[in-house]
Amino acid sequence: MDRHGEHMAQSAKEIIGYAVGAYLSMALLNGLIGLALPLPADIKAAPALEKTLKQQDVSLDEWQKAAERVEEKRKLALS
Amino acid sequence: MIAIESIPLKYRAAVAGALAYLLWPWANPASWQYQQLWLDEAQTAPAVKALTRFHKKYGDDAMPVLNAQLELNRSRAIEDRLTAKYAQFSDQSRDDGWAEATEFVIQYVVENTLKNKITLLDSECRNTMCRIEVATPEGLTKALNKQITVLAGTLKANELEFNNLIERKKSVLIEFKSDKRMKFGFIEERIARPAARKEWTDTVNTWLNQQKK
Repeated sequence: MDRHGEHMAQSAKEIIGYAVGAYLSMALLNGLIGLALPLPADIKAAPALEKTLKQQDVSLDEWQKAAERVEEKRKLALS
Repeated sequence: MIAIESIPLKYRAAVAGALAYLLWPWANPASWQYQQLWLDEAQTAPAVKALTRFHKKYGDDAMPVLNAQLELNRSRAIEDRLTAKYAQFSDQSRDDGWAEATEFVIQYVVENTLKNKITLLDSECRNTMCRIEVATPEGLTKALNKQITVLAGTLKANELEFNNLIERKKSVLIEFKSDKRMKFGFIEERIARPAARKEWTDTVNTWLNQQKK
């Protein structure tokens, strides 16, 4: 590899380094924010529910609507 | 290629910041978690109660079902928004297959059911709507009104509902709409109806079938 090629490879590595570094920093920061944010005790007591709710960036009302819709569908299916 | 060392640190930091901004949605805590900061416990209590009740009733196994239903709700909300965006005839693009077939039906009804008692100046269908222009040289007479009513009734049987009538100087524009599924463009179709939608529906239906046993 000539000097120019080596330089390009070095620059590419640095760019990737910045991207990965930025992502890891954000992930770490968000992880810390996520831990610091208050969590209702009822949700904390149900780890599977907590894990599910954390999967989607929506409001609790939207989760409630989803739960109500599943209930409605279940009632219809069983009727 | 520009050497990265030659870029001032402030610009490198700006690029890193932009990358972080772009990556933020993937690493961001859910918005409901932030809601806990500015909403009273009393405001979130009904939703928390409903969700914990759901979890207690159906257990951990129902969690993928809850997630699938949320995805379905979100996907339908996007579809509804897009459908509303293209609710007007002028905003719609053409669904060729449906439009051509429906224009043919309109032409057929005018020629055979109405025996050409009305003069069709133009007929155009787009995605879920059709607009036809009928000549009214003597205005909207009783006889013409009757023929338009017959046309509307016949088209209703073909799942085209009368939507609007706009009077012009020597013609009327009549709009009909169908409740067929709107056909979106390539990208919007994938946003509104992602391939995963079938999986979400299957997840919910499988669970419902298990509940029956």
